[in-house]
Amino acid sequence: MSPSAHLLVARELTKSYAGVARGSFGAPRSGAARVDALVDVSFELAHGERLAVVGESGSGKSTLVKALLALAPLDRGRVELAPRAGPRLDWLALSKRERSHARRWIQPVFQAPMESLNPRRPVLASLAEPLFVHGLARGSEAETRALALAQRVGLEPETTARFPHELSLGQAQRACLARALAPGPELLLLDEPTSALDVGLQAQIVDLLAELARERSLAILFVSHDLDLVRYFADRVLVLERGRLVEAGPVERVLGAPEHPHTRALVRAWGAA
Amino acid sequence: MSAYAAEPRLVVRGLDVRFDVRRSSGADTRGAEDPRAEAPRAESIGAEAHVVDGLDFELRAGEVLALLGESGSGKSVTARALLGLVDPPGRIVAGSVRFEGRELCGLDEAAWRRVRGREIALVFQDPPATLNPVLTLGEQLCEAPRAHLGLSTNAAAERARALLAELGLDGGEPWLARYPHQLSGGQRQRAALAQALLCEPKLVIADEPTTALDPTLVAVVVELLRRRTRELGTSVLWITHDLRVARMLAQRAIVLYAGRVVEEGPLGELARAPRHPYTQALFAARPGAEKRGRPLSTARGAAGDPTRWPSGCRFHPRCPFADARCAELSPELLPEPSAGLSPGLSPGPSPELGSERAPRRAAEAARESSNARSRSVACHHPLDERAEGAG
Repeated sequence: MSPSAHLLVARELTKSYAGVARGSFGAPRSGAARVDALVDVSFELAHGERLAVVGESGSGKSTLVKALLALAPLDRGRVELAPRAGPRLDWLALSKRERSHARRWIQPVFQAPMESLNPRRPVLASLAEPLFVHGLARGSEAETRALALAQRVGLEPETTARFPHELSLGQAQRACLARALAPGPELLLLDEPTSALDVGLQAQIVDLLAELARERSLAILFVSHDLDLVRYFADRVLVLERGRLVEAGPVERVLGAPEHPHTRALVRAWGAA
Repeated sequence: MSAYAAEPRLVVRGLDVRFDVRRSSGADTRGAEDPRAEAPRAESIGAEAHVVDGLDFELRAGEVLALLGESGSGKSVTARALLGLVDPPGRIVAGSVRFEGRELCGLDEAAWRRVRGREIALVFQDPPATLNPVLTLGEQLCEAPRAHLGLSTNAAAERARALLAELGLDGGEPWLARYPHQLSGGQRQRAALAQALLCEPKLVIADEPTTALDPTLVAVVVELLRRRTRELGTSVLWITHDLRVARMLAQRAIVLYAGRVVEEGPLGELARAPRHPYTQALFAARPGAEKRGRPLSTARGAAGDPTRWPSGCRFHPRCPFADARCAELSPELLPEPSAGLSPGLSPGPSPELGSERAPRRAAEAARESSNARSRSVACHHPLDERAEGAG
């Protein structure tokens, strides 16, 4: 793909937190060093591409996802977004109002599906809401479209009338996928989307995700500990270590012949037996 | 270990656990795996959930047995039943749990207290629920060694510090002074594991103990448990749906589906040549580079409602090979005649494990037992026919 085919270009994303060292009873200790969560992380994501982010706990994976969702302000950095169906955007520099409109292009799916759905509303209402918010449909049309989405992800109409706590984990994760798809995004951001699911459910959700990505030309950025899932699903992979991007490239190359010692250590730990 | 050579360390026969779902109105079978996963719905009120149905298995000294299965298959309830921790509305209806020749079913609470933590320890799936939020790690970790082993506070703390260090919690941090909320999820999970291992129990029942850990830490935990099995002859029942970690640690596995064992055998063999279609689906679901571009999932839907398991083979509504007979035939768990007869095909532990250098009695015993026990629910669809279907 040519460089102009990039959906997202991230440049020098940088973020540090105040140190988390704590004294007795959890009181923050003064003088703790700052922790670098992201340091000059730059990368590109092509339209329709599947990019995995790997690294140990605390390597900055979740901070990266939050930054790309503009949920956590960065110290520095720039994200350019070029959806096929909309104008080019300086994503992090948008006003709050502009960004809430532009959120239709980037949609998240989180690790804990139950906690990601509004517990006080039936699932159908959660699926229809993005359609209202982005002015894509209203009234009965929104409901019809939400039902169609639900059906696409394998939820029966009667299931959508239930509240989140009445769903199984698998159903809840399907509902989260349907909600993410509702506003017609071009990029899905998934933070450990299947780590709460058992292997059979994970297989169903991953298969569904692959079908949806194909039929809607979705780009996917996902965080995972599961190197086999990365090998199965991703085109390219970013390796983070303590907030720094230490290696990036095609999955077969990076995980097959890792160049950076940290990537080598991750691959070795995965295969350790 | 040799004193009990006549009988495996743990012998479970016909274990049967049911939950009366009348009282727990609504969709809840507390303790039955994750309460959110496929819980019985309103229409099943007034019924009985048959969560564990006639479970048989054995575990030898120094052996690691993986208990595989999906959410709702009865794995976690089995773990609790082995320690007499099934609470109402659940109850153990029938069965026997023999530990080192002694029957555990029906012990009174005082007797159980001497067994739990000392002889058999349980590592729960959910460390926040295991650790007491108002005690420091030191206070709660040292309690059992002091009570069970009569250690002084200092000696217990020394032991706790050493074990935490083995699990990667060292580096000058005063871990024993920490409260659970001051730890990350992975640190809590390791603290809970340390708590279970401190008294050097003969049997460790670990219920999904690595789900909150990243791969580097999983490797650390696996190495520690391996050392325990080798040096102390600790037996481990490793309850998981993570086939990768199961293969790192366990020699043998039991596959549980809808409360019943569908297959048992050496893990390498189950992965290579699964005899039951559910085992086949379970291993097929694991992603990997070689499966790129092909769907992972072969079993649709979920196992469903434990108050109304399907007739015949319980897997048949989800099985890609099922025909009319599958709903009628009453499936039987049969020993596999081929297993153990051909040494070339029955390596016992997974190949990665076989590379350990020193000969070890525990591992030998485990290998023998894995040869002795391979069994599966008879499926009338021949394996080669299924292989074609799956391709």
